[in-house]
Amino acid sequence: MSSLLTRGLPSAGLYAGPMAWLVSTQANYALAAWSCSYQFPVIPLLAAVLAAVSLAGGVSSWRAYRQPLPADTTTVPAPDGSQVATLDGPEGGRPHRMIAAIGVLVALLFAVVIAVHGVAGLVFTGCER
Amino acid sequence: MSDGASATGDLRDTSLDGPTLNVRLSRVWGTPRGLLGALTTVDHKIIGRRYIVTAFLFLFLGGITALVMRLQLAQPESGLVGPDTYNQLFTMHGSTMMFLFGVPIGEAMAVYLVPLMVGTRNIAFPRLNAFSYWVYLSGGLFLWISFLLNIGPDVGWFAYVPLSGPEYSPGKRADVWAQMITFTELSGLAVAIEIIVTVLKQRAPGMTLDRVPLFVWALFVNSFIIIFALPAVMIASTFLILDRLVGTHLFNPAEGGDALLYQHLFWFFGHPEVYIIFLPGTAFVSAIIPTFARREIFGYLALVLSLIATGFLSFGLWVHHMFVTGLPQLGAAFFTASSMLIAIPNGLQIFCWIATLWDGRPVWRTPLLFVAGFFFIFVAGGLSGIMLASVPIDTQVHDTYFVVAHFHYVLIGGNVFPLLGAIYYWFPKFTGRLLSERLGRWNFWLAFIGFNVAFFPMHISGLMGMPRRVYTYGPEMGWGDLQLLSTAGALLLFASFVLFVWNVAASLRRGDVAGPNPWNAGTLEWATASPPPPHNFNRIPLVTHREPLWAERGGLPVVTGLSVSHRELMVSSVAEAEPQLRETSPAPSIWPLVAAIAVGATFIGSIFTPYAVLWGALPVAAALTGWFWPKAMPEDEE
Repeated sequence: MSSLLTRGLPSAGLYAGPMAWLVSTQANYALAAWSCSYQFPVIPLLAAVLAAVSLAGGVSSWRAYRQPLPADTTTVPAPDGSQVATLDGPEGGRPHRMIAAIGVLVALLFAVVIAVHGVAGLVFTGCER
Repeated sequence: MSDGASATGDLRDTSLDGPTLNVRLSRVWGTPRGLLGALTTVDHKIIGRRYIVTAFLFLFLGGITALVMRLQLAQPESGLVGPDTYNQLFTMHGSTMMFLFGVPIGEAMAVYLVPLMVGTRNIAFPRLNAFSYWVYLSGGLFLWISFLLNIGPDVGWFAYVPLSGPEYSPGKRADVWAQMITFTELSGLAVAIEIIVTVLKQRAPGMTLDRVPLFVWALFVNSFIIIFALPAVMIASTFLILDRLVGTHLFNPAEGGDALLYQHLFWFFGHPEVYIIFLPGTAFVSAIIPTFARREIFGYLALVLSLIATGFLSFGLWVHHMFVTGLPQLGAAFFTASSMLIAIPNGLQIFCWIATLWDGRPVWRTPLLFVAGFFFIFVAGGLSGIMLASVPIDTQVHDTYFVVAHFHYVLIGGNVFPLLGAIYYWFPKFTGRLLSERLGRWNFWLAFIGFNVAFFPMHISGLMGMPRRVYTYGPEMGWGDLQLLSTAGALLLFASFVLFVWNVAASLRRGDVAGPNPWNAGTLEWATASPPPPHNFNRIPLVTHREPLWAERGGLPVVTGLSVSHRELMVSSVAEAEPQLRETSPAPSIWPLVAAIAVGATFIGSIFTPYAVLWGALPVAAALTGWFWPKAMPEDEE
């Protein structure tokens, strides 16, 4: 577990971002009426938490991107003159590095989407029809 | 993998070479001749070809319904068809295009091409693949025969309650629609599972995740969308049948049900459906552009990212179809946000494709022309989509021809144009002959001009207030000229399809003979003969690059050790595509057809009596027992 935290998980952003967004979409939709009744800004607060969850996944993917698993160098077929060197670290890392890069970017994108959900909660009270 | 013959005396491909190996493998993997062979085949290429042809037949049928509607609307107060027929026509058009063409055509192309592109000998679960085709065909025939018998559905392609419920739609028309859904979605789910397993577990050695062709990535993501989206509409249509047949009140507010629940269930499927139709289009574009730009795709990572992000986000937009149902504005705002932000991954894709062309040396053959047409039309449709994501604009133009124009720009631009390009591109692989380039150019320009003349004026008709689904209108409305123009465009578009069919028919007999790789493309399907032999490859290729045929000009390295005595394929690891197992692939069987007939009879019977489900379970169980009866098959080996 501790190595997961320090070395990161390539696909973490890929899981965390969309999951946080899924919770944001469903919970916000359900909380719209509640927000109106109690006049409490639950939606921006929830969005802040969920955006943080998404970004945490992105950080884990970033760590994995920077420190590819040692096993990658042995499990991936040998170098071959591939032109996709931008994702190949000098120590190897294919194909997990690509997943890690996608994890970082997906986490960022979904954090933005969740943040925009939160902004809607600052504009509307939930009572408008 | 081990060399030579195994301990059981099994002959391996290491012991044979050249024509001997090809003949031997063709015999092992081939489909028997005659009617029985045709009914029992499990070859993904034969089934894929059937899927493609059948989906195109439904496209033409859907197109003819559209043409009749356009002729009816060409002038005010036309009496060509009456309101009842018109209701059936627009329902048949929408249902056919969305369920019998839009979803299946992407899967059809995947069934044919994905196993070739990942370098395997057959699709995963080949008998399920055969079953899925028969179920799809049954569903399509069921709908169209019902229409010919004047019991075609007339409640629109989304069949909203209460209109489609027992009170307002007596008779069997709405039931036909609802049960057609069950057929087609069952078939779609089966293919999605096959594609996912094929991509994850049957890739050729060396095809690590970052070497998977973008075509395969797109159809892989698409299959996940199908698996998560289609059950929602199956539940909606089954609930609808229960309300109509059994007397439940799931959608009846007077008895504690909820009519809006139907819309939520439908659009939770319905909006991802748009992407289920669009992602195969992106697959075709991502395959065509590098070949004709003569360079690798620009931004592979960004394109994979876009596909994955689009796949997820497509599930968070559905409520924008329900902005006028009285939802809280705060709730609607979430879906506006997601609807607008999905433009980010989609825009990213467009920029990557343009950058590839910009930096390449484009050769403007017919497939690339259709891709250029896709850019223009799809981007225009995307822009009107951004407009519709805004609640105030959507409220104004809801259910008008503006929406009709928008979704035709997105769906025809995003799917049909790339598809036509794809047919021109892969026709040599399917048939061994090239389509005529001269007719292809005529085909493209007729389609492009016809489409825009037909659908652009609809934006204006919609802004002038013309509602969709009206069978006629008065001359005082002032819509006549624009409607006439749209009809003229529709006739041009139809002519382009007639030309396409002519080109296909003529080229099948007299087209230039294509070699294995007539376009000098880089992906694995071009490494084998055109059309491919039953076993696809004499030996499984070893992939060393994202465009293997460009990297290995002297011939692909191969993996050896697979059996030539029985159907055997290689199972590989998910991320690194390292060989793990040699697995036996199923032989032809009649049971998928028998099971499909049993399932079809049960489905059709169940719109008349709920007991059909009970009695139908017996033949279905018998067919499945036959299907899965233990056989003497070699065990899988590491």
